[in-house]
Parts: sequence; structure tokens; C-alpha cells
Amino acid sequence: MTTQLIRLGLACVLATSLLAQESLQSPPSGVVATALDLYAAGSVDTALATRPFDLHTAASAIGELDRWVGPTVEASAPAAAMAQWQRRAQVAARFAVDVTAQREITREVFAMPLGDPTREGPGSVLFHFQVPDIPPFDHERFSAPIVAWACAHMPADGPVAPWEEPWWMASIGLLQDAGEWRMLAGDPRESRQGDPTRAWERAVYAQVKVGHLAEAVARLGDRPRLRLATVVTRSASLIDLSQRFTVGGGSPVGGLFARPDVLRVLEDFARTVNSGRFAEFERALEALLNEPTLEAEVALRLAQLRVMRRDWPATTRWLDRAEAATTDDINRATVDYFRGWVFERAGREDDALRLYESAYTRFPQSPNLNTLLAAQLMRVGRRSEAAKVIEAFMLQPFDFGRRDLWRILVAGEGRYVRGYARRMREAQ
Amino acid sequence: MTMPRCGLVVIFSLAAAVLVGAQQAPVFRASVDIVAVDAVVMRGRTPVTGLGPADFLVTDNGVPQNVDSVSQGTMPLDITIVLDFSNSIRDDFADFVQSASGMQQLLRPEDRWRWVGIFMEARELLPMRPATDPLPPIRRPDAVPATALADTLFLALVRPGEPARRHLVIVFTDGDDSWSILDSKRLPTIADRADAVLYAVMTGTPPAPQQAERGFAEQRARRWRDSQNALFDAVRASQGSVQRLSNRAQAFARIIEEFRSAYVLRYTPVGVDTPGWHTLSVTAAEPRGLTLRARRGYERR
Repeated sequence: MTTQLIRLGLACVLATSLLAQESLQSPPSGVVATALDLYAAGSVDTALATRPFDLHTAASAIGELDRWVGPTVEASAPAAAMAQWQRRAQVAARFAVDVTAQREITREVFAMPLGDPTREGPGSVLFHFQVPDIPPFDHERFSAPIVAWACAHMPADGPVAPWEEPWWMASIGLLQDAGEWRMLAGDPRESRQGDPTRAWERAVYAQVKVGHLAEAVARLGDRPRLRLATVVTRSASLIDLSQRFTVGGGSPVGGLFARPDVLRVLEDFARTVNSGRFAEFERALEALLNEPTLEAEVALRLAQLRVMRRDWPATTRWLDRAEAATTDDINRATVDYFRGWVFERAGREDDALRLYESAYTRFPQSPNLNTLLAAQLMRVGRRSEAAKVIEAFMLQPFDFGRRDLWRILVAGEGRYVRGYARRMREAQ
Repeated sequence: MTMPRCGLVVIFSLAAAVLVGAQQAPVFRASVDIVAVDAVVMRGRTPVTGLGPADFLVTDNGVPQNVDSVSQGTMPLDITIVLDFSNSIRDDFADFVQSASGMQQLLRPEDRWRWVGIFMEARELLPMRPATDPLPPIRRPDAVPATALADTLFLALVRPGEPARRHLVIVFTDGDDSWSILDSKRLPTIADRADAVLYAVMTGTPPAPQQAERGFAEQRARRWRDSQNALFDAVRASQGSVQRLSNRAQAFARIIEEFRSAYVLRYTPVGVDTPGWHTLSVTAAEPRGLTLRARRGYERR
């Protein structure tokens, strides 16, 4: 069934809530528990290879996790029982984030089940796309409840274990990638507690009230990357109009970052934003520029805030600084992508073409960049190359790896999630 | 009046290699390019037949060329059907699909077609295949809330044509584009550079400015008008035409008839060796009463 999916594009197609998703699937029982046993025994690769969440909704996966951890132990319980419960809870928290991190992360494209495709028959291939090996839910609706549940099972006091820091960063990355700005930033006004019969819903509301970033800071202390994650979250929540899923449905028209024509849309959008907010975020970012490990990313984000407002001189200055501070291919590609856009907007189309080509060489799977580049190639009559650049992604059956460079930047820690997960495993 | 119009430009490269000696052989290559450009000649609504090489004047980058040969209606067709799946045309969808499928009867065994869908992104539904192969039934999903028209047309137009085949793109749409990465203003340039000729079978019209309400409705109407105008400009740039017939089967028949009636002119370019984009001009030697449409350029590698 999972191979008969229609590709419609963006996550915003589905206004269905997680509740609606629950009714779509009948997950297998025992897969998560078996994988958890393997994971707890140190057979991590074997456990992950079973892809234990693939046929689960977040709700059903959390049900399985809860069953494996067992009932909460009362504070008055013997110390050994408490230690045993805590050990299992922490294994499950690591497992939940690790498994979610191994899933391909996407926002731009996702697969949507067609109700009951088995009834469509083989003659309906015209709008059924064979999408092998794609799980039946979209990633972004999965991360929030999983992270919220796992966070509730993390150590709250005592010495910080080496695996905790990468766990927190991975979980932040998952939420940033999913656009869960409200859960990250926290909203003290959140008064809902969720349906008592739904563990995932209670966990989500509790996390929204406190804020995942605040929890991370409380546990790990003030760290530059957490400060950066906080600024990224605050600025993204300003300009991401989608009010994405936390509990209940998302916006049917999608958010700013769900739009494929992101640079054009952002220019329009920036005109509606109070310039004081931009200045506030710029000040917060500039305070992080002296952190050597963050300089390139921070400069890129400052360029990002300027490119939206068509402030080409300032954009260029920040891009120069970002370029000088990084050798990372994605950062360098983003620099050239933005520079190309600046030139295109300034009417210097040949320069735009040159820079898009440079960016494409470093990162050939970005629909936005590929489209802009291909249009430029067509303009100068290099049609075979244009066809190659366009068809490289448009004719591919399904590729979760393709992402817009802007989106990667907005997703903050999202691009590092798998690295954090690996570090977490190594530190266990 | 001479209007640039229809035309696939194909360069045939005839290469001869001469090996001198069996070991350490130097290779001499002589290469002769033949450019083929197709042109539709109409008198009113009627295709003109019976013209020969002397009836056409061709310049390549401004340099006059000798037309070596002319043929009409003999080259096999590659047709790309671009089908709009968006909600806004759902009422016309079944009729269009039926009409497009009926076009199969007008195609020859050597003709091919592919089907491309306009969803929230471009999707190739059926790759290029013989047009006589059975066509699977086509249904549309319940909800396609946004439309990537420009992106999909880009995909349909971008592929260079194959030698000795002519490429026709027929799009069925209302012209509204709400979701493309590509700025629709770029479409005419892309169509101008493409080998394919773009025809549009239209349904629906955007509300007139005074009819649109303020706010979102006004924005949508403006966006619709802009993207539809870009589509029309692209059709003109590719030398195709827009069909608004309520009888869509008739519209398809007219497109095929018009496209098949195109002449293919072949010439060996002289005095224009530079690679890259070449500007073409094709006119009728005796233009009186004729409308001639031909491609305005080609890419030389």
C-alpha cells in the first residue's frame, strides 16, 4: 500500500490533523518493542535498520514507546525500581529521537496516501506515482509529538551525561526542520492540557507551555549554539506564516517556507514586516558573530534578512563575510545562490548565471536554484544543459534529498540532525 | 505580413572520420551541419501547400542562406500533452481528457506522445511513447489546491528536440499559476528558445479588474491575469496559437492539422560557424496574402 502514493507537492496539502492520520494506518504491534530491545542491548544499527516507525503514526508509535517503558514509577518506589524505569525511559527517549532523525527530512515534498489505492487498479498510473519505500506519513507532523514525548522522559537534574547535549541538539533540529516554532519558543499562555487518553497530546501541550529551547538551556546551560537556535527560531516564527502543526491541523495554504517560489514571496512579505523586528534579530545575530564556529552561519542569516528587503549592498557585505568564514559546501552554495539572486534582481543576468552555476556545482539538488539556473541557461540558448538541470529533479520519481537552500538555512539545526544522532550514539 | 512562428530547428551533423595509419593514427574529421527549421505558411485559416525552396528566404545570424530542400507533413511528431489537474478546472477536466485522448485517432504509428501533469509541481505522467499505445484511464485527485503552471511548461518545453522529429506541446489550462518556482514572466523567453511549439487550449477567464473584490480575490485575479498573459506571450514566442473552442476535439484536430502542415526547410549554414544561439529569419519570397511563422533561432553546439 505504501508504494501506491500520489505526489502532490507540499506538506500544506494536508489540512488533516494527526487525529486524521491515526485513522489511516493500522500499525503493526511489536516492531517498536523489538527494535527498542535491540537498541537497549547496543545493537543500534540493527535496531534502526528495522525502520520501526515506518508504519506508525506518531500517536501509535508513542503508544508502543509507552508500553515498552512501562508505567511511571511513583516517587516512593524502591530506588532500584526507579533506576530501572529511568534507564528504560532514557533509552526510549534516545531511540525515539534517533529513529526520527534517521528518517529523511523534508518539507518541500511529501507523499500522500490516496485513500485506498488498491481499488484504483493498475490502469490508473497516470496520477499514481510509484514511490518505493516511502513511509506513509510526512515527517513534519511526526517530530513534534515524538520530541515532546521523549523530552518528558529525559533526565531533569543531576550531572549532564555526554549523550544529552547531542540529544538536545538533535531534537531542536527536528523541531526546527518541522517548523515547530511555537513548541521551540514556548508559549506560557498555553492552557490546554490535552486529551487524557492521548499521551502524545499531553506531552505536546506541556512542551509548548514551557518551550523546548528553554528546557534545553535549563539542562545544558547557556551555549552559543542554543543562543543561535533561539534567534533562528524567533526570526523564523516571525516570517513563517503557516502556524504549523502542533496539535490539530496545519494551514491548508501552507506557510511561507512551504512556498516554492520562496525568494520572490519573501520580498513581498518583507514589506509587511515591521522593520524594528528585523533590527532586533540582526542585533541578536551580530552578538554571535564573534563565535568562530558560528560566524559563517550567522553572516549568512544576516544576509538572509537583508536579501528579503532587497538591500543588495548589505546583503553582499554579509555574503562576503560568510564566504570568507566557511568551506562548507552548503554554506558556499547558499552564498552563491543569494548572490545570483541579487544580480538577477539588479538586472545583471550573466553574473546571475555564473553564480547559479557555481552554487549548482556544490549543491545540485535544490529545486529553486535549479529552476533559476535552468531559466538562465535557456535565456542564453544553452538548452541541453537547462534540460539536464531541470530534469535532474523534476523527472526523478521521488527524492527526499532535494531541498531549497533557503529552507536548509531556515531549518537551523535541522541539517545537522543526523550528525547529532551519531554523536549521541557514540557517547552512550 | 511576415510573422515568426512555428518551428522545430534541428541540426543534423554528418561527420566523416579518416584514419591514416594503423598505429598512432591521426584523425581528420570533416563535419557538415544541416539546419532544419519548420515553418507554417497560412493563407487566412488555410495552410498553404506546394511551396518549394525558392519560395523561402532564410537568414542565419543575418547571413542569407540557400534552402537546399523543403518537405511538408512528413516528419513524425512528438507531442507533449500538459494537463492541468488543479481544482479550478475540475468541471472541464473530463471533457478535455476525452478530447485529448480522441486525438490518438489523428496520429500516425511513427508519432509519439507523453503526458505531463500540472499539480503543485510538475509531474511527468507518461514518458514519451508511441501514440498508438493504449492510454490508461485518467482521473484527477480530489484536491490539488495550487498550480505550478510555469514550472510544468518549463519541463515540457526544455528538452531539445530529437533530429528528424517535430515537437508539439499542447497545454490545457485556465492559465492560473499559484505555485511555480519559475517567475511566469520568464516563460516567453523559455518558449522562444525551445524547439517545441506551444499551443494552449484554454478554459475559463480571470475576472475583470472591476469584478474582482478587494483583498485576496483581487490579488488572485491579478495573479491569474499575469500568469495567463505570460502563457499567451509564451505561445506567441514559440510560434503556436491559443484555442478557445468550446468543442475541444475540434480544437485538437485544428492544432494537429496546422502543425502537420508545416514545411521543414533544410539548409547548410554558410558563414555562420560560431557556436551558441543563432538568430533566424524565415520569410516568404512572395509574401503577398501569406502568413508565415517560423522559429526565430537555434542553438549550435
